[in-house]
Amino acid sequence: MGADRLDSRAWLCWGLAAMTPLLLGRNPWVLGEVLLIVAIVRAVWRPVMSEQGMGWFLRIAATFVVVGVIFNVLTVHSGDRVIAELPEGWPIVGGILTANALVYGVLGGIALFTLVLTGLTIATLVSWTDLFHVLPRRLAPIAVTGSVAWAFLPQTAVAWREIREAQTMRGHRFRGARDFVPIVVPLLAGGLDRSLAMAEALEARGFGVSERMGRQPRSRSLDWTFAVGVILGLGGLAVAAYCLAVGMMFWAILAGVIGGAALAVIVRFTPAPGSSRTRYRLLAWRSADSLVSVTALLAVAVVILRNGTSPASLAYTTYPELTWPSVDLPMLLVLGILLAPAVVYRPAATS
Amino acid sequence: MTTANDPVATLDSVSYRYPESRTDAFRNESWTVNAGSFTLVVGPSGSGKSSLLRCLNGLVPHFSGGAFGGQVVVDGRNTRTTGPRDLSASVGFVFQDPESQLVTDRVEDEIAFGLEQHGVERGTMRKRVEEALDYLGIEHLRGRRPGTLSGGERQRVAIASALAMHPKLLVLDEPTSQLDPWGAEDVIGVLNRLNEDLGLTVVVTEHRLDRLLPRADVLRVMDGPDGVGLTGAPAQVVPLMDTVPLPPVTRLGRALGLSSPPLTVKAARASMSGLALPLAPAAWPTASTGKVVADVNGIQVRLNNQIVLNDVSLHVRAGELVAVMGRNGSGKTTLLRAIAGLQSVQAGSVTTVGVDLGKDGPEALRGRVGYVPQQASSLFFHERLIDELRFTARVRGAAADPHTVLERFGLGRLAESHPLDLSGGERERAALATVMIGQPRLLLLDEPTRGMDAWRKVELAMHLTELRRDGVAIVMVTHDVELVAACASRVVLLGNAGIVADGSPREVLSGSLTYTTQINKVFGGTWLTVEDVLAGVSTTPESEAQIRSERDAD
Repeated sequence: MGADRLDSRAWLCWGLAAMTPLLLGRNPWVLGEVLLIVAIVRAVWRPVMSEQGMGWFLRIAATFVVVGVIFNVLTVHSGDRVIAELPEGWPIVGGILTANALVYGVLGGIALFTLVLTGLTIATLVSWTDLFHVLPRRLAPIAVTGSVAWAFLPQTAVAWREIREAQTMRGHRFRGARDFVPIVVPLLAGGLDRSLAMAEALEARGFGVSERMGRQPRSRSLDWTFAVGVILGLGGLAVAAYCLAVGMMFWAILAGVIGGAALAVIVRFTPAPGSSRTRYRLLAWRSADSLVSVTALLAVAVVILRNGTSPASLAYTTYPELTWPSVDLPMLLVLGILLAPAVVYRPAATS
Repeated sequence: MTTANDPVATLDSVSYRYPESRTDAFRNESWTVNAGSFTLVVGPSGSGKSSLLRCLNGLVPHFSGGAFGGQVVVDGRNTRTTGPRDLSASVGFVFQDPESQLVTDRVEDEIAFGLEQHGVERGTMRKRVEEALDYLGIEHLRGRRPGTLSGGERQRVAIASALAMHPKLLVLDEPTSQLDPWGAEDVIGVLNRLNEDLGLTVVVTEHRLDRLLPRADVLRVMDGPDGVGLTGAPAQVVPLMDTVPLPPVTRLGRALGLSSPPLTVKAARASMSGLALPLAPAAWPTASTGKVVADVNGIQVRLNNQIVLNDVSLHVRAGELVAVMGRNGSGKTTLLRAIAGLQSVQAGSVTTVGVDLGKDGPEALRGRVGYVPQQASSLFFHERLIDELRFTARVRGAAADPHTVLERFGLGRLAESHPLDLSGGERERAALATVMIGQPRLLLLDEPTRGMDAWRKVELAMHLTELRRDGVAIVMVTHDVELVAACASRVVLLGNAGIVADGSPREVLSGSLTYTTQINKVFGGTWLTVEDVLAGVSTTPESEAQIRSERDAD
């Protein structure tokens, strides 16, 4: 059952399961548990994670959290626990400052930080090349785009640091948003150069080659079918997510089924251009992948079900009164199965 | 089947102009690439070398657009009707920047990427990937992420990816310009084997000719003496071309009037062994008496739990040009960053332009030191060059006239130009002008000649020498031994987390196995540059007589 790597699809399932409760509510018990689970999984899988240059993501997320909390406290003058008061005449920030706003801001910050942490974990552990192989051929360019973007992130982080240092040595001071122009412009110019270089390299290496060796010619009607299907599918899933968030379970399920069916149909029945592509490496699906995927999907199902039947399990608000959040112990226990990746990890034997 | 001397690619009156450009990148290029040949394309930055190479796989004009004239036929296919994707099985292309051409997250998958795109059957694919890994000697890297590889390793992976396609033609656009000397040597060794052992046709463009010139059997010079390209065997073309980009031994041969100037150190030893030279120039220790501008005392720096610098002390005086050299990871850039206050130190102290960085912090240094990063364009964000200088003057509170500074660096006519429209050499000078506003007493340069052509290096050496004369202290991290010999007053060699040598270029570079010039390899002693030897020759009548007799023999 132990594994030193998991299939990228299993990681995607786990990421979806970890993110779902964060998107559905602000219950502190749930937020705390998911944050703890993600931190444990990261700690266990750290030996195989390659996060060089990614720390700045977490620093940016932490900055947003702090700014968000301060903004919430200063602008939401509501709640029953007053901790301070600013003169009413002060625009926007004038009025009472409440512990309710503070707690809500902190919870929002934790949710945001955990989402970033989960996304970073997934992006680091997923093999974009494997995804390229397992995705339906129509969607394979998405995996290549992800791979290229992921490769660019550390370079961008390094470039940001180098430009900032060079401008600082030049004598520039960074005090407000406008002071970041000397960093942002060279960063964008350099990024554009690198993007063009990468696009050239992809062309030169035959990405999307048109030599299809006896395949059918490209059909315009199939292209239209594909485009409509993608819009219908993604639109349906977006509507489903919204309905889920506002507690409209029936419509959520209906939109989800329509969206999912549309995506399945286009993926199955519209052949991709360049469909002569072959695979170098065959991916093995192991029992550890099954365990992680099944437990993740089970957690998603339970979370969605509880959100419909007992909204307080996930939802929590500090307005108008600051009260203790409800504890849904069975659901918290079920969420514990998201620790599956940490349980199945076994270090690779050294040769 | 293609046999030797059959044309793999033919260019017939090819001209190209980039979209929205008012001038041609190149005009009327006609030449033939024969099977099994090793063609080296040389010329200054902006002469159209890269654009010409991109014609060989159809990137020009299919990817770049623009106005294209004439025709290119590669492997029997006209590039007007066949694009780069379709040509990718016939033409392997390796780009300049090792970071911007690898797509996947495993070396093995990277090599298979093109094969997968072309629908090569899996069994064949596995065989070709194994062959490419073995041939390039990178089997041990197969499971690694490309992001964790060194520049040289990445370029070898890129070459393996191209090789796995079994191309008819391998095209490389300055493949070593971003690499250190050891990485460059690896890559060139691989190209040599591919050409000699497998008979693979190679077309490569490069600024550093010392390693490639001896291996090429065809030399193509862009923008030759009459504005017309030259093509032929190196021995025929070298006597006709501009001497600036030539390797030092070849340049010396040309200066001595030899009709067949040597292309390698070995050939130079043979042809110049009898040259009677006076006593070699003395290797005096550095004896600058200027005021100490940067004072590094026993610093220790740890990065990622490893000691990068340990007990390093360095005192840089006004008017000195200190070249910091050493292998990759030896702490060169870390030392430069410590002097600039950008790197915290765990022990010891750094005082730069009178600021104790441990006590006052790097903020106190802001604007008092000129610092040019590896990517000089990182500094530019205005639409006009003159505004870049005005910005520096404003943030430093300097009263300098930006126009005067631009004139000094030979950029007066470009004051209204967009900095990113400048050529590589102009950009480097523009960066120098930008950071020298307010006359800082210390200039820090991080590998300023990376990707720079020979003509621009000469200009850079000249400007640095002028700044030294004005009393500016310069610390330059570089791998470029010839540049160091040409303009540095002192060399600091780093290794094993410390300084292993510190002295004048003649002291440190003379007789070194790895850090020395071509001229020193030929003549030994403390001879370092072509100018040294020419000055020596002019002082000895025997030598002049000998040169005359060698010329006659030629």
